[in-house]
Amino acid sequence: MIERLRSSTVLWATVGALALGLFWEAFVRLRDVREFVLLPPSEIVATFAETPGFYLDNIWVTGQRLAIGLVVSLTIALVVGALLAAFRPLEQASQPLLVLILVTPWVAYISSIVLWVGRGTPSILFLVVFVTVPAFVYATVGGMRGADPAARELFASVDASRWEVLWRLRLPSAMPSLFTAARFNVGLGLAAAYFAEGAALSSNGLGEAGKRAAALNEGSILWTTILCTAVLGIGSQAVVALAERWLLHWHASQRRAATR
Amino acid sequence: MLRASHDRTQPLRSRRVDPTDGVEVRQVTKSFGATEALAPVDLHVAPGEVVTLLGPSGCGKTTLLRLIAGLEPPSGGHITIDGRSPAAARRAKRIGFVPQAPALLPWRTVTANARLLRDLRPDAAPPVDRDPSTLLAQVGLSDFADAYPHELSGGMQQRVALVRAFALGAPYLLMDEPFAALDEITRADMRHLLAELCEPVNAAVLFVTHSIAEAVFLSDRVAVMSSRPGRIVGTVDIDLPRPRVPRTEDDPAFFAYERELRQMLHIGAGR
Repeated sequence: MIERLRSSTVLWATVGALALGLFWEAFVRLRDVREFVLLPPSEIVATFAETPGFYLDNIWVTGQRLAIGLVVSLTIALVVGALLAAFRPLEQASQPLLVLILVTPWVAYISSIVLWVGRGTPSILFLVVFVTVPAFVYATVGGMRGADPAARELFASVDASRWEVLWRLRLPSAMPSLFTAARFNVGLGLAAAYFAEGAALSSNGLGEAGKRAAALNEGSILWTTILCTAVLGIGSQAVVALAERWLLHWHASQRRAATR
Repeated sequence: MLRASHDRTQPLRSRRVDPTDGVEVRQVTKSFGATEALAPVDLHVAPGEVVTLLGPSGCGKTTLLRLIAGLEPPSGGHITIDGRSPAAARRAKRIGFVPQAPALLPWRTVTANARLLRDLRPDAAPPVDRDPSTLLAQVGLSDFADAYPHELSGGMQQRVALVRAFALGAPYLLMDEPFAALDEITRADMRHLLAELCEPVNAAVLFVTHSIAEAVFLSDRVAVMSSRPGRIVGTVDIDLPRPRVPRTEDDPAFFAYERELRQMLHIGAGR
């Protein structure tokens, strides 16, 4: 019984979350922090309860943009990554572009994107896809290259087609690194979506709500929006984690006993 | 386990009809850059015959096997399998390859791994239809049919790798030191199991090893190799009764063959 309590992930995560909430509440109230700087959790909950529809709608809108952006990005990365993994010169030639995308701050060029692909959703989706593609491409190339050489020879021993090698060997081999990239990209994509919604003259979404609240000096709405964004991020991470547990059950990273 | 009606005391080589049948290696060489890995090598493996390439590490025995499997091109000479090129034999799924590592796909169950070579290019029908689950039962893995490779021991994984090759039903099985990574006790079990699997199949087996006991126990004929450059220094016909059973290893003739091969290996090494 005690052993089970000790190893319960849910229990300890809940304890941690409660402790954080209490500390946060106490800190804001005891130090008398201004509401624009930081809002206590109790008031965030109260603000949310006043107009839950407003926040839920925005979570839904931003969540959709994040999900569509990531799926498009992953699709592009799988096609591009498979090509790069097959042709090494192509991979080397693509490095400058991928590194450039990774290191250039998107804050700097968002207005150019708006001018190019149009305001609102197109710009937001474009930015999410654009910033998350490199990590997915790296994961695809690295994972596919890392496929077990002995298994590759086994495939060759019956003259397996390129497609079979890709589908039955290289793609599954890339799954672990793709999930690592997905966890990273959920955070990156959410930040990009939030920022783009505020900057691309969008009419809805969490980023737009947050920007408007800041402009109107509405600290309580701003902080409630921020927490809603965080909740969306946690939810997205959970979706990735569940998919990982389902699709990657065979992988060493998903085995509990091995970590003891 | 003993198949009483089995009478295979004569090596199957004597049944050969067509000289183009079997694996024919003629004056084959292989160089990696300036390094000569194989001096001109001649070898013939008849259909149904079990031949072992025995030699120390780095003598080119694995290289020779890979050339026959068509995984690498030879630098010179000719290799044919039933009169066809290794590449054509691979396309026709006539080669069952067992690599040194089990190379099981971790995302496939034991049964799915055993079926892998059949599942690839399903259009090229395997020459003989062999049921993977029957074979898994034969190697004692029925209870693990739905398990994943990480749940198996090293010896069990290698058994799945053997079943995977046998399930293809190919007339030629090429095995590259499949038991090299196993402990001595498991190795002995594995060679007994392999002999048992080979017995009813009548496939030709080319087996690479550095274990003298494995070579004597499994083979109709042993080709002893020596290194720098790799070459075959002699062949020994192993005239032990079949089927080979664990008891075969207590036969005085078995020790005599072991001794003969050990001496040949020493001569080959220039000592």
